[in-house]
Amino acid sequence: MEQEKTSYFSNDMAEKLPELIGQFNQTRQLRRIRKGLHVLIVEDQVFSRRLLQEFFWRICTVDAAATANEAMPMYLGNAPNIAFLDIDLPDESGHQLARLIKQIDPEAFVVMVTANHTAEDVEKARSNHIDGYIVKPFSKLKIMTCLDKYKSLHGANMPARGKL
Amino acid sequence: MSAPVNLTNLREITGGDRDIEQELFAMFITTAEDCLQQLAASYAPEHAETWRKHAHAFKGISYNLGAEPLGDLCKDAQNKPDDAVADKKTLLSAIQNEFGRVQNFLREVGAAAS
Repeated sequence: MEQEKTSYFSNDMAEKLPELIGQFNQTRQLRRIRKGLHVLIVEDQVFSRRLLQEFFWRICTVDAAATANEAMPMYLGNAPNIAFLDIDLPDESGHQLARLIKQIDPEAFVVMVTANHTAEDVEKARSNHIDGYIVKPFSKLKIMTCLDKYKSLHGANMPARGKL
Repeated sequence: MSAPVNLTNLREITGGDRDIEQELFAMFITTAEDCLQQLAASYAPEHAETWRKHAHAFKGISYNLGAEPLGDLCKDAQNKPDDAVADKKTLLSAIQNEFGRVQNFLREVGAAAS
């Protein structure tokens, strides 16, 4: 029998929120005890997802998901230091996912990734208190700019630029 | 005519690893072929959203590969989901031609690396 998939974005999300916050509070301390960074990539296109993974595998640990609902258990279970979220996801928008993550984890460092650079997307990102915004194509400079911002805020144990 | 692909960004991200590069090229071609099929099946006005969605996906992977001219054509397609069927066919034909150039370029890069 096929297992029913959990939806984190149903109409009763407000009721579920305390439970999700409680779940996350049990894992958030991972950020303080782990060495280096842990990154979550949420991108439905396998090529673009793999490209980002290739970059991060060389410097830290990585979780990768293709949908918002696939990403949530990874976020709750592993408390990533940084989440890179594509805006156009097949189940929910990246903005919805970012909003939920920020509700659960106000200290979350979230970077939106998109091939569209519309005023509407920028406004939504701003209203969700997003920490970074990358317009495709990915480049080392764009990614490093986000990592540098994270480092300046949190002082994470990160490799020097010269090692990449 | 300019080169169909600029691999500078991709190689910076992959650290210049040629095996990974070949895996990424194969992933790009598989996804691109799927996008082309989906676009060819969604000329009709009632499939405008499908057309827009697949043009958007194709645009994203093209730009990430460094195939800017192909990405620009896909962007054009994404912005014209409600165009006449004949116009969409013309645009898809241009996308297919440019994709052919990209495939040839990737094959040449692969052959040079092996």
